[in-house]
Amino acid sequence: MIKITDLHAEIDGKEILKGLSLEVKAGEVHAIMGPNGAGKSTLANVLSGNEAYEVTKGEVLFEGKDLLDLSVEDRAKEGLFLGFQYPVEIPGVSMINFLKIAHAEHRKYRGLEPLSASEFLKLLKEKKALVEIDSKLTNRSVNEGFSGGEKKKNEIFQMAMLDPKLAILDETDSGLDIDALRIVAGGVNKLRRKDNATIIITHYQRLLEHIVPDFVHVLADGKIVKSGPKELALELEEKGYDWLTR
Amino acid sequence: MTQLAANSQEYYDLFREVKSLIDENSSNKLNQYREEAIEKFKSLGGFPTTKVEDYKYTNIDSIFGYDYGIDLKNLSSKLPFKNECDIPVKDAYTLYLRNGYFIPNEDLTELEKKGIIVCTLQEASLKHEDLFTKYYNKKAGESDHSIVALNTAFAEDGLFIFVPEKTELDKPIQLLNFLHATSDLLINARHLFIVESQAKVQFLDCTHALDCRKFLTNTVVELFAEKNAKAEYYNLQNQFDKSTILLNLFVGQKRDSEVITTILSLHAEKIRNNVAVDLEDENCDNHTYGLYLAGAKEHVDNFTAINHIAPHCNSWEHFKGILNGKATTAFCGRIHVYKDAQKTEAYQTNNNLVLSNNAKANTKPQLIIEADDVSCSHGATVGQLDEEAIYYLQTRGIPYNEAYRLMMTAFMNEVTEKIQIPELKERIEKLITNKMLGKITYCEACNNKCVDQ
Ligand SMILES: Nc1ncnc2c1ncn2[C@@H]1O[C@H](COP(=O)(O)OP(=O)(O)OP(=O)(O)O)[C@@H](O)[C@H]1O
Ligand SMILES: [Mg+2]
Repeated sequence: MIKITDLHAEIDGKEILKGLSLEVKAGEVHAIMGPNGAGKSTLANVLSGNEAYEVTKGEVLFEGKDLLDLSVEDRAKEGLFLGFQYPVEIPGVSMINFLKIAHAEHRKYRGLEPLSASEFLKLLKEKKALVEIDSKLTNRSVNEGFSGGEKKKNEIFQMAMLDPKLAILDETDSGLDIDALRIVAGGVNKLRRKDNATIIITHYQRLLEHIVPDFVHVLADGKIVKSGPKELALELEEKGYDWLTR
Repeated sequence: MTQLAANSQEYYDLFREVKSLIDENSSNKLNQYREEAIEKFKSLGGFPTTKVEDYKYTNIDSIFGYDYGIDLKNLSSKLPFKNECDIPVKDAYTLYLRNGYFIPNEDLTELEKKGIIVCTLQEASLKHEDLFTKYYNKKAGESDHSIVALNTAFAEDGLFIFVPEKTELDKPIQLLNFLHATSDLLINARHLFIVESQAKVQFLDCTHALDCRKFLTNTVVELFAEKNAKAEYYNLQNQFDKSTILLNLFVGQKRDSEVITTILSLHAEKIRNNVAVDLEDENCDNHTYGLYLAGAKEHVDNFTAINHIAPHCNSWEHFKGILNGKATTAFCGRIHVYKDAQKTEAYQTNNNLVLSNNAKANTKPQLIIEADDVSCSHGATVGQLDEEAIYYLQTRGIPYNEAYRLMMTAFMNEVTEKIQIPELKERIEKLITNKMLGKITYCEACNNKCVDQ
């Protein structure tokens, strides 16, 4: 699915990713943990093409294609999805309109006509049920005035609508109450298939009880410093990161 | 009295020179206002320069320093075009004007059947003398903007619309004013709209420049909403690079009336709008909106005064602008709550989105509050495009241009959503997009082949 090799990236001249390598295969779920400021969100943003970051070295192959060569929107349409740690509020842009346009763009990329209004509404309803998101939210402007938890739910809702091959969920669990966590995790699990993959960035092993990862990685100081099975998460919870970064 | 500066003196002298000609072309009744007006123009000091606080950002004196011709007699009553011009709203009562002079057409009979009076100001001054005397120049005459006095002195004719009591119009009344001239021209257009009690009407006022001439339009519109009347007035300012638009809009509201005015400034070299609203009786609602898109070296200046004279009135004012290139804009919003105007609610917002480092938005609220039990608020923002939001949209597969367009439309939404004529709203949104994408915005179907320089 995705193969990252020796990735170096900087922002405002400051190197954040310092030779990161990671491979995720179809059907897998990978968890990335690591201390604050380690570069987890940076990795997510570099992969989705945020221009604030400059890649100085390394290669990323996404389904065999050179990912770094693609525009932000084309990466999305190739099947990459980023669930934001801090979803952006966009006053004046309605959720429905936004999703309609995004969905149509994805279809256009695959040479398909946009869905008819009724087909689209059907899809919307189905996916809304999946993440148990309130119609009150989808009738508003994108993320505007949403609570922290609602924003995160909305990310999963968008993911469900766009059906990506690879979803990178950046701290989608933080700010969620217990029920919301269960719903969000349930949504992710329901969307899990043999031909897609998920990278979960999280600080809490709690989420990983709901979404069981195949691998757990520790990202510290811009590199993956340790990888292991799901049990690694438990160990990290107990011991922290010090023993790995010393 | 001090001497007038050169440009002002020139117009003062011009008036003296051509007064008999103007009088000949106009009606006795209209002529009665001229003398006082030109003296007022003089006593106000003529054209303001930027030294005058209220004109700090727009130099009217230098605008009039250019050698425009004036259209003293509307000789041809024929329209200089085929009717396939870019009409913003298809389903409307369309009235045609040329250089501000009204040219009667068939749509008139339909309106007349409903009891609505639509005629030239001259005709109104003769046939509907009472109405004319009651309303003409009632608000404009009080104004201390000298260009308004100049208009009163020079205007020979214009459009008069009277909507009688309890008359509700099913479609908007659309004015299509075509600027047509073989030389650069100053036009003093003058309109008077009276909406009687419990009547309901929408006006859409559009001006198109048909020739590649420099046009300076100095328009005065007086709009009166009587008891419980509901009136909407939209002014679409979408001309071209050589146009200078001066709009002086006066609104007078009586008890329980509701007025919405929206000025849509899309394209001209320079625009100055003076809006003055008098809430004279209790329980009036007023909405004063504006939207401006200024690119290249365009200049848009909105100067508004909402006067809460009576208690229990509400006003909402919202102006939004997008600036690009080397554009300059100004917004000055004055809310005056008079001593007796208790329980006033007045809100004002001005938001600017500045896309270029070389563009500059000026904004100034001005609250004069003499009553104590009032609720007033004002807020102004000057911000840049939210690149984070564009990135967010892109990560969902939406291309940059489309994301940009969405953001622009979203920014304008708070004003465009208030447009109650769906066709106009749709068209405005399209014009905004076109302009943002650097395409022409003015009438494509008209034979305007002017290319912006
Ligand atoms: N514009 C910037 N200029 C300089 N440094 C920056 C800039 N933006 C981010 N950084 C730094 O990059 C580093 C990595 O940030 P990043 O957001 O990737 O961390 P993270 O691993 O996601 O942390 P957290 O767990 O707190 O979300 C941090 O030290 C941050 O301060
Ligand atoms: Mg982070």
